[in-house]
Amino acid sequence: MSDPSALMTAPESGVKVRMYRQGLGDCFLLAFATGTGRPYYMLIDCGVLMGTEDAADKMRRVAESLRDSTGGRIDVLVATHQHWDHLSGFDPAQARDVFDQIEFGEVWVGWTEDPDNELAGRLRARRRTHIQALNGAVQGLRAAGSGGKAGALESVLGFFGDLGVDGKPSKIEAALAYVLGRGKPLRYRAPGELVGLPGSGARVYVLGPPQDEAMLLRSDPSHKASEVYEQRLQLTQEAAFFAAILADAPVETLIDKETRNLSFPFEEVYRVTYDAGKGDPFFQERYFGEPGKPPEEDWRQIEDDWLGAGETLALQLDSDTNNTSLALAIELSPGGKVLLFPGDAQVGNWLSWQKLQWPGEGAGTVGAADLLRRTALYKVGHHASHNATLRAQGLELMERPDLVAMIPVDEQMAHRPKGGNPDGWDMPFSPLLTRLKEKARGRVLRADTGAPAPEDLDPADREAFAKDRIETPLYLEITIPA
Amino acid sequence: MPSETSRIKPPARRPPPFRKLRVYAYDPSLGWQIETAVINQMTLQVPWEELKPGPVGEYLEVVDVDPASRCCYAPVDLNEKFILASDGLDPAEGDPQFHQQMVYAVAMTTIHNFERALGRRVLWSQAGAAQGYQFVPRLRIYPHAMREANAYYSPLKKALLFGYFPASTSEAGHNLPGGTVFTCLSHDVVAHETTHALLDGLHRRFVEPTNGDTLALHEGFADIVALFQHFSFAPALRDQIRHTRGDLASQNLLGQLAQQFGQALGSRGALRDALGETDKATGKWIPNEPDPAEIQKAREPHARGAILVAAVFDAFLSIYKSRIADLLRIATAGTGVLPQGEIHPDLVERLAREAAASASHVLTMCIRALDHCPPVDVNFGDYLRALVTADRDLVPDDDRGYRIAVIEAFRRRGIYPQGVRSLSAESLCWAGPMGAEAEALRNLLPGVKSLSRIRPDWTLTTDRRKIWEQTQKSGREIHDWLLSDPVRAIAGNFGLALQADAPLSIPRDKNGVPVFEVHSVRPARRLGPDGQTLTDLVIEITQKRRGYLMPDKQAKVDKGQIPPGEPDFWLRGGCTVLVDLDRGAVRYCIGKGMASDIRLAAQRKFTLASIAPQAVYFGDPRRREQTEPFAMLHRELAIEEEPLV
Repeated sequence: MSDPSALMTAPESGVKVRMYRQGLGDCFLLAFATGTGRPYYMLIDCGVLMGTEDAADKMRRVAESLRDSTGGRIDVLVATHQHWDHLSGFDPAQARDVFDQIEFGEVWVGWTEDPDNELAGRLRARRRTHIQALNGAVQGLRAAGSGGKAGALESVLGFFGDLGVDGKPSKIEAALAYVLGRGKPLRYRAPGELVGLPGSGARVYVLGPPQDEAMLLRSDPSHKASEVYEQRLQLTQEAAFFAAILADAPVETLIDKETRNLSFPFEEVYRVTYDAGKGDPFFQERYFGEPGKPPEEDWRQIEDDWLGAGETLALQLDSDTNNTSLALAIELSPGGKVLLFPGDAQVGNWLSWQKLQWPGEGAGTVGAADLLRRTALYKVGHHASHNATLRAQGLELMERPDLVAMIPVDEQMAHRPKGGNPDGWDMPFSPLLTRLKEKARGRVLRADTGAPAPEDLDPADREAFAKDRIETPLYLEITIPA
Repeated sequence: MPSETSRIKPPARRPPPFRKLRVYAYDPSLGWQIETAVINQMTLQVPWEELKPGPVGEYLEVVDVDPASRCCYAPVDLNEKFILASDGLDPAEGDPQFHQQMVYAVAMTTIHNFERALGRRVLWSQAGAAQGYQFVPRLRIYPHAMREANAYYSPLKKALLFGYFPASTSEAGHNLPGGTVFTCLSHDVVAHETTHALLDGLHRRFVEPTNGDTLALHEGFADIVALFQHFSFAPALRDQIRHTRGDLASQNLLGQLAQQFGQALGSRGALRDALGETDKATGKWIPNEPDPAEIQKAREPHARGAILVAAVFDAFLSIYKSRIADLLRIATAGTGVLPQGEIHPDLVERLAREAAASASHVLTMCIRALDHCPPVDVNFGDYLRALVTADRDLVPDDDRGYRIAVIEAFRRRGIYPQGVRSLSAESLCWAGPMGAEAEALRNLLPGVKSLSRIRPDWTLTTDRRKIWEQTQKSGREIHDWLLSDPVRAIAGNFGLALQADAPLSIPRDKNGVPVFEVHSVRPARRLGPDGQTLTDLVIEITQKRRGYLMPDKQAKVDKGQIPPGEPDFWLRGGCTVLVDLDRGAVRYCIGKGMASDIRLAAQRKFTLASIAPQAVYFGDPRRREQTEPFAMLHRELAIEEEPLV
């Protein structure tokens, strides 16, 4: 059923790296040279941002290409983290039936997806509660007439796909479960591991996600106390906030009656309901306005201000999930070139790599800084946003003159207004893009705009770089010789 | 008719000068510790005014709605006889009416301090464009606005929003774990947030983070006001002096701001403990040694603001020490060494009085300096120069060495102004135009015929709305004057770019003239050489220019090669001009050049280095006017991130 002429070949030595162009989302197919003639295929993620037009058609074309290019067998599938723009392809409404036709070898995910890991379980529970509360905040903002803020918040929640109701898994959880189920075997990867790819000389250094909770939740110092989310919410700052958001929801499992009552600042005798307040001359004049009329100074109302904390929570939720990214450094030969695939790792994940050590050739050791220095291909994290590429202990260490950067980004989609944020998201972040172009001497491949214009390249590199790559409407491909 | 009623009325009485109201001296948590329980209550004397329930007065309106709980709390009527008879309601955490009383009393005290220092009435900043820049008579206070560990001033709503939250279950400090902490019951937090609003009323561009110091100045200044307001309360001061035996530099509660707020957030000690910290090993409090390099390292606005607070506190200490040196010599028969044990109550009283006088002087100095700051892009160095200049205007002769003390304290914290030749008080004072420029201005100024009419009547009895209307009118006249050809030609003196060849990144009006704005016109008092009180006019003029992160784009827009489009940031320039109304001369011209490429590059670098974490998904707050700068500033404490690219 697959077309043999469509097969993706491996180079004589090294690897071919193919970035699909489905939009704002990651999908990378790698073909490593082996001695047997059949390449070793690795697929890293397959998804596109929620809200992309014709997402299902686009993802089906990608998945069919994956099937046909690999002869229907992918040796290892890597799912970096639980975000829709990395996993949507595995959704039944997108391309799951195509993936059903593909045979998978191993499946790799971060240890954070391991159901038996206690810390991982806590993180997942926390994530579910946050998502649920934030969805409540979106509803609350809509009800308060702040559609703009609601939309901005909702766009961040879009990374998680649709929310599951009544304890059923959400679509993103279902997509991940499908991926996990296809693994023969399934491997939970943890930092510090070193894994050879059978048949090729390549080896994979596992960098993240960090196993240190502080690093994982870096950007969230208030959660040093880990007992908070073990079973049921105690009265914490978030619980009080959630109790207010979920005031009308019958979610007794999350917020019990006592918590809800304690979350009020005063005893019942002092509380005057909103309805009573709206009928009172003082509050009419100073706040609510007379019945049927907007108040004179409606611009000074604070109905949605308390929901602003949701923005902070959404950011935390997003960066916490990004920090669970399975980050890989793939070394083509011992001491040789490295391909860096950090997923969407943010600061805590990047910083945690510094502590890792692997045995090197002879007596020496290999550290993260060494791997970064040897990086010949950098998959730019989080669609080249400003907060997912570390500077001093990241990009600045990449010093190979033949460095290539690949950015899975769709600038138009990113810049589209997101609710009340008219500028949309700043992806790619122009100062980062500029620095990437400097470090890679112009060899920056973008999913949206394609290969760089010849004038962006050093004249000495133009010919060789053109020879090394393929550009089609569906993907961009580059050869990295060992 | 009952016999005991009389129809004979006494002559009409004047209202009393003050209304007495009880508040927490620090915050409720100190009431739970035996050693501090006695000093945790105090009675504030708030200037008397007619009050409606709320309280709603001339400056403030307390509106107690709690949207998170979908509740309202009944407004307190401070004229109720039981309340009047007992100096206000009893301090109580569980009584929302007391909360309303406390925010009113503390905010009014802060306002009163400002009016006393400036010698004029204070105005809140005007409403935004959507509300037609209308006059805002009252700052609104919401004591229970949200469920989070946050309190902020909203420049958009002209309101103070105070949050409440359950104390952390693991590190609750002196609080009840899980118990509710109210930010509106922390004396310092209320004074701090009110100061933000007062500062915004004077300088509404100071909320824009254009360099590392602007928001830090807002934070630091607000802490300074909160801190020195404490020092002006005699009973608490006496207690502290007895405890520390006169040495106010050693550990004391007065110096540790916002106790409860910081403790409940889970960090030990005060959140903004500017002056020292508790040694983790010994549990002992040690004062911070001044480190000039620290200012280079601190980036977060609260951390930088703390350095400013520490510098001003050091200056206060040296002023206090010089004022009590003679007292100590008298009390110790010339040795200056105090005997063991408690010190004499009379000495405590005298030391407290000196401390209060020093504190009041420093507070006045710090507030008055605001009239001598540039209108935009202010930094700590500018503030130091403003402090020195303002003090010289009020006290021409520095025989007590206060200005030296201030300069020395700032120097030890590494705060230096740019572009001065030495750190002497004379070279730190702002200068006015010299030579031919001064001459040109002197000839042109009478062109503003109404200049002396502009001198607004801002005495403490005038209607505040009238003052505001007059300000608007004066501003328009000065705007027209600046547009006249001879004045436009020398507008560079004011840091403005008004000529046709100005960079095209500066917005133009329909005639192609660069747009600018007369931001503020207000009087400032000063003491003349022979001791008489003189009035200067403070005029603030500002202009804006589109800034881009990419220099080549900037160059193209400046030259008009591409249409401007949305800027990455706004560069603001302009100046504060102080005019001597009697001589018709410009005394100071404190400017930030509009056309300066150095400033443009500096702000570009700052913008790049300080992108807020929420910028990825919610847009960079600096690009938009509709944001709450202080809301996120305080929330960021909880989601601190490393700078990346």
